[in-house]
Amino acid sequence: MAILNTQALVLKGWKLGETSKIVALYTRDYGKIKVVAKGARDPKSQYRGCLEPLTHLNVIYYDKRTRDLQLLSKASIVRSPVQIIGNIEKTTLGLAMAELVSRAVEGEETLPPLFDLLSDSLQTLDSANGFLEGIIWYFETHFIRLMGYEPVWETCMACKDSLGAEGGFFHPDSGGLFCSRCGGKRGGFAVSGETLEILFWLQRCLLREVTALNVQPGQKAEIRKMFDLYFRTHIDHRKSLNALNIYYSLEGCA
Amino acid sequence: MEYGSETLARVIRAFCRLPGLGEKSAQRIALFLLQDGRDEGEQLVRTIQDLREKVHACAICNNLTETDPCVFCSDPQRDGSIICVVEDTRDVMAIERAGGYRGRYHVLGGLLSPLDGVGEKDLKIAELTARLNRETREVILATNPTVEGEMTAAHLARLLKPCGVKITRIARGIPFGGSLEFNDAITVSRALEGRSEMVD
Repeated sequence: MAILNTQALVLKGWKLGETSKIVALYTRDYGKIKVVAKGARDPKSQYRGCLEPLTHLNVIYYDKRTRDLQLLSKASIVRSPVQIIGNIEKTTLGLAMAELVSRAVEGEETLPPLFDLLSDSLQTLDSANGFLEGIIWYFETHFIRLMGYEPVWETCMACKDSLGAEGGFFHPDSGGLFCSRCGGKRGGFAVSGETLEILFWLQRCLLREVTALNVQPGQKAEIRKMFDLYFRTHIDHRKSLNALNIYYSLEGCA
Repeated sequence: MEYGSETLARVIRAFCRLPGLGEKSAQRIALFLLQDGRDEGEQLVRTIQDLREKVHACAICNNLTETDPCVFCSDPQRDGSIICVVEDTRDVMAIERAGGYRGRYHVLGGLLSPLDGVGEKDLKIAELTARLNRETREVILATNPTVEGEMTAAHLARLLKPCGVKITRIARGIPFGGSLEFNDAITVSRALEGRSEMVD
């Protein structure tokens, strides 16, 4: 058995017995793990307030290769999602990022840049104002690149011509877009040139710039649909992200 | 066969499925009921049957009850103009145990939980908005101070705002007997936000 020390982001928690908790963590050095935090729900526990989703922690845990559940020994907060908690839009978007990592990352795959992306995105979300959905679009754009599923956005998959202002046809199965000439034969989901421009920009911009995005409702709907189709095709066939569905359903209440 | 009796093994397995009971405890209870506690066993069976047959959700507040409306909704001594919104029946019990609250309740039956796909339609939120009337002065949002509890409270506050009632949130902060030093950043910042004036 090894004693491991790493940074971690809390993805999800479940009650265990009367006072304990099981927590899914995405760690910087050991990928996704599940730990038991004994007595975590006791009001006097050292973990009180630590193990809520989206919290950035330093953790020490006992790691035994032969078991799926590890034992948490110590957790201290690096950063609490102070501004996210209580803001329903920020919470659902933050949880959508956690859900995506939770569903897409298999076991203990170590990918420090993904940890940094999630951590930076949550930190930006915490302090951001403006167009908050831009943060999850940035996260999704870079998430699929880091996971090795990056689609071909710039050129037609068949004729290799640049996709310009006229847009293209998105084929999640093929991993990219076709131009209007090639796409016409294959069907697919039509995407406007303006939407593609936003997607190109998301690949190159800085995270702190995305909340300044000015997006028309049509482009917003196209981007949402593209990411949803792409994740359902390549990562999880079953369903769309629950947290984003709730985020969209809450929009009407704003 | 470990127990020598399939029926005994079945009873132990059934007890094991209950929360907080391991195999040893289940075995101890089953043997007690068999050897020394036959009367208790029969009483237990009748009580569980009663529980299943008589206890249901109140049509008004969704709290568990044997009467409809429940004792809290039908008690004329309670202040009908204040509704305390909680996650489940255990929270009603905790508030009643503490004493001091004399208003009515509304049990949501859970919290918004994006990771589990629990949305507004899965909770008794429409029923809450439907029961607000001219008499309602205040809605107290008493969901737990967790990510999901805070999110549910924020959603309800937004939803109920147009109704024109006063919406309050239970206080959060340093627990009695605790210390600032050992509290997390969210607790300390919420405690400062919710500070109150000292009165003589």
